[in-house]
Amino acid sequence: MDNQEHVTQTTYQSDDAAQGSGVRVLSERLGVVYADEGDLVEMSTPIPGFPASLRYCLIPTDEAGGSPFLWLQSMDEPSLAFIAVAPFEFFPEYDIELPRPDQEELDIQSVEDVLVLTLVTIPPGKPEDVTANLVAPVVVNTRTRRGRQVILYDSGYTTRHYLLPHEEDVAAQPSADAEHDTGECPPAGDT
Amino acid sequence: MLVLTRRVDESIMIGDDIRVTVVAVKGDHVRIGVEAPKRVTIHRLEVYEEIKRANLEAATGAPALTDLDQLATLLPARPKREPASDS
Repeated sequence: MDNQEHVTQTTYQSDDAAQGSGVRVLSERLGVVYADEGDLVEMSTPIPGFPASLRYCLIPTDEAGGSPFLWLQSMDEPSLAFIAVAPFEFFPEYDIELPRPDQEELDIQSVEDVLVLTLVTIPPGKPEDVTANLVAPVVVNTRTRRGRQVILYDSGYTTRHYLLPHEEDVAAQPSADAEHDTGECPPAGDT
Repeated sequence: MLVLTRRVDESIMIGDDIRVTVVAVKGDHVRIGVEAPKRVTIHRLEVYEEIKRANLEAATGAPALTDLDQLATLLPARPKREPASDS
């Protein structure tokens, strides 16, 4: 399964070239973008922290396919956009077990339906330090175009894995809580 | 915050379709069972807060296009594709 195939069909046109086909998306960063229905994602629950957005659109950051990064652009809030990437390219051993309630809520019937994306953080001015949130991927059912950010308890993943080679695998927490907050999610099992 | 006192095996209804049950109490640990529709997510608070923090950082730090361009140069070379044309 090549995740990129799902998102390279976007026709990325300026307003001057508007053809009337596709879906019109207004992005604060990108201006007006026309996208195919196949690039739309409706979240079954909002992405935590952003309760006002449910509808998103996946837009390649590089129309020519030179970059694997995608905008996950909110269609409900033009100023909201994440950068997402299919994680397996950078983490070939990324192994996820989708929790049963999420599988059922997304009506996933086959592995072919599943598109896994991870949200990344690019520190301003330091793109080499880009990190991926591997513990909470955005999982999309490409058949129904519905998605959800899923939390992988017990996976051992954190919210801050470096994509590019670094001395450590995981970036330190940015806040003053660094000493006791590793960014890991506590395990789900009870003692 | 509404605070109720329950014994083991007693429950609380939240709305019409969320049920919270005290499953067991052991020392200072309480085992809590939650029955809810699949569309309702259930997470321990500290987990949810960490995910939310990471999302906020990812969104508000959304990069300048120059950072994205520079990032593309740091990646292993990829074959470029022609932009898809409408069929």
